[in-house]
Amino acid sequence: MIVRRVLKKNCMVNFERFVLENGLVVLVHEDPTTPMAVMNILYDVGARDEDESMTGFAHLFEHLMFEGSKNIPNYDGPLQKAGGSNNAFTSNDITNYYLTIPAQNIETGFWLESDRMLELAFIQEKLDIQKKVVIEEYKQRYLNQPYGDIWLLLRPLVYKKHPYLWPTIGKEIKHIEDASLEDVKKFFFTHYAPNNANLVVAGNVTVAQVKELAEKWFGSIPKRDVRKRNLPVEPKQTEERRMVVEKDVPADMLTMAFHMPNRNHPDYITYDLITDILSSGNTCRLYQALVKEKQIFTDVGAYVMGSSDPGLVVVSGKVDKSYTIAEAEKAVWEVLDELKTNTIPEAELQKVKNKLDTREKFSLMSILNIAQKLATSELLGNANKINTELDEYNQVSTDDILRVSSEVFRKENSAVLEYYSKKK
Amino acid sequence: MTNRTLQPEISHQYNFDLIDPDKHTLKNGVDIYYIQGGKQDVCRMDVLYKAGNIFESKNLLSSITNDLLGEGTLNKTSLQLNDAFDFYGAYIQRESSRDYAGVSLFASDKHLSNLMPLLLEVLLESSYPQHEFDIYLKNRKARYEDNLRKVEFVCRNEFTGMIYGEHPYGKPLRPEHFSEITRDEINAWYLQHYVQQIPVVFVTGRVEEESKKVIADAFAKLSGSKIEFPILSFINPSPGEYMMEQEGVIQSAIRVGRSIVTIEHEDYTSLSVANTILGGYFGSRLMKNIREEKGYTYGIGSGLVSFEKNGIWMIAAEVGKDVTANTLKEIYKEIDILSKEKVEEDEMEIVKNYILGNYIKSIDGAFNQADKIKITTLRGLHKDFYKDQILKILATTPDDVMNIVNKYFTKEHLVELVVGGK
Repeated sequence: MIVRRVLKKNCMVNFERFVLENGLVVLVHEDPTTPMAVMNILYDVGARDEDESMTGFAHLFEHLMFEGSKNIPNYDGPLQKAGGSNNAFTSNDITNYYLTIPAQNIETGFWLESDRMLELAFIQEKLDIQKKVVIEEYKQRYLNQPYGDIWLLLRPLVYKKHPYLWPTIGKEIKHIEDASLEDVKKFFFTHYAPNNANLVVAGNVTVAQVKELAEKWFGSIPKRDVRKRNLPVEPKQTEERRMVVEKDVPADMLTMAFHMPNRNHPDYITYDLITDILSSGNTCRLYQALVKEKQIFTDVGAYVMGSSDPGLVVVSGKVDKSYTIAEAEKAVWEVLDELKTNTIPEAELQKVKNKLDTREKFSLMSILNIAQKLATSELLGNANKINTELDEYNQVSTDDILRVSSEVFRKENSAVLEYYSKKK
Repeated sequence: MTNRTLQPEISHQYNFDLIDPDKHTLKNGVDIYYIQGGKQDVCRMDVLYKAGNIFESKNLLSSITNDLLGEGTLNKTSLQLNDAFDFYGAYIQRESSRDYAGVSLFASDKHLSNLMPLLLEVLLESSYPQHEFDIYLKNRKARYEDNLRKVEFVCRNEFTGMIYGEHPYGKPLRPEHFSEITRDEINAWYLQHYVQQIPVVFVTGRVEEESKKVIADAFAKLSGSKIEFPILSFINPSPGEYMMEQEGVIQSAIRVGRSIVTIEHEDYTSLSVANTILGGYFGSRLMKNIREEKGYTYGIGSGLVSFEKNGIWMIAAEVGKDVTANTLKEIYKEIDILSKEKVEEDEMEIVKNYILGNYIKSIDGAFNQADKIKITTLRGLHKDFYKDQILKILATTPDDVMNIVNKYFTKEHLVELVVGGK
């Protein structure tokens, strides 16, 4: 038997939720023990909302959000003066902005964030420079790294219709080069709006204070006509897909992607636990079987993409020089087939649940993590998921693991990328 | 109507104090520091040894010994030991650096009585089985070969070598180091630096009184001695411009910098301010010029690092090959301006407030405070060291900045390395 933990009460994250008249959802987490406050604004827009001929735009736009707003020419200066720091990220689903600031100066956060939600400065020169910066980012992350282009190759292999077929950085550099100020304006007014965002404030603040400040700074921003999302549904994959490339990289690499349901699907957590069983820590199945015992891989892992629309389970690893990709793939299938054939021991499942519980507890000690988790839970339809999800994980059974493994790990549901090292 | 053009009032009234850790010294000399706090019933236990690169006669000794701690012990295989930690939802992280190396245990306080014997097994009974060593070395080498294709890695690897020469702080990792190292050398290093040395222990989080007894009982079983850091001389690096051409790359990695004084030195606070102005935050002069005005790079920054016996100051960036020469020109131009023109009060204020806010964030909660307390404790600094530093930073004048730039950042002292092309 393994120690079974029931995780409740002491993990509860307190929060309050209210909605402004213009549709902005506000969540507040009070924590009087910290001197800091965090502000997180999640806009419900990502690379999936882009036009196929203008990919990379949501991310380029994120850069422009720091280039001055209607009444404030410089975003960073005043924030730094107030002792704050900030960052942002764009994914295929969302664009998320966050700042950390000494709690007594939180109003500066409201001032800055509300002004750029109200309207950007839209300056041609700034756009031109940020295009260059993003192109350098493209080179640094995707082109000037060994295997850096894997997702540029893999996405169009697994997605044929759904806009997940391009990465957030964009399909090609040209799309970034072509973006015009008109496009930027249009994108802003159709996606950046109080009724298309949620605001989380966490830390040494009170609900009453946040209510007052939210009303004062965000209350007057008009509701906007947000473009309705109407994305093509990815047709069901019916046969195995495969792509072979050869590049100047040091070792062969195998990547296998399998279609899975979206983040809100009741089976999502089972998928997440399956990849933990496969890939979390030194005792996991892939590492033990393929790196330690057979030594076919020098490195191997598995993970889920927790995306808003149906996503992927990915297994990937670097192949040892003494083996071929075909042999490596066969060995991966043996591990996956085992999950489909035999119910895993109760203790093994409990083990990954316990570990997840410890990780979660460490993660929830940061107000920034709490704020971001509240924001994504709210986006998924229920902010309280932050408190209920661990229970859901606890309820997953070994039968669920068997059932879901059998559904997902099928050849006709897979896309395989064989990435060969060019022989010199 | 809300006036949106004016920044709301700000204040900088802060509490700079660190928690006073609760120190227990065991009979065998092991010091255990408790830093209580945190909202969840979990704790982190850092067990730190003087076992970093500085002791190495050969590259890889410190990191391999550390990475393979507990990967096989006298009585358990690697899998059995890791499974035993997993059983309680606990996990360990191994970490080695220039001066220290050690293990951190992440666990729930209530399982410590079961976990401490396992942790002791890691610290005292690791057996370094040959096959574990072989697999590790093979995979580590594969990772290294991967890294050699990254301009950023090559630049980092070579740059510290240029700064430190043969001193173990800087020796670049080479392919032959992988074939020169043996399992027996690792085992010998383990005995010398772990088994025969007593560590310093920091326990952070929520720990009940009875657990403290469990922890003390466990560490009472250690029987090593305390050791000192070696005094090694540093060569004088040869400042100048160096270039390593890399075929087929589209960006160059740039590093410009030098060895420099450590945090205890009286110049350090002025250096911190000067460094922040130049490249230490998003609004820095280098970011403004090279990213926000020219669009040459995704990011450029500068930083100060303090090891036990020396420090490094450097500027780092990855930039398009075609703009590498221009980037370097702009870097020296910005240094030159700082050395000749006094920084305006407004910029001083922004930078000081940024450093201040960052400091307050860095001492938020027990786990963040622990990181600061570890440094003051291990370096033997006064408990108000950081508070004093912050007060000194707030008192730094534009003249101080100019003087420090002229003293340390001048081109004749700097090593410049470009990996890629220009």
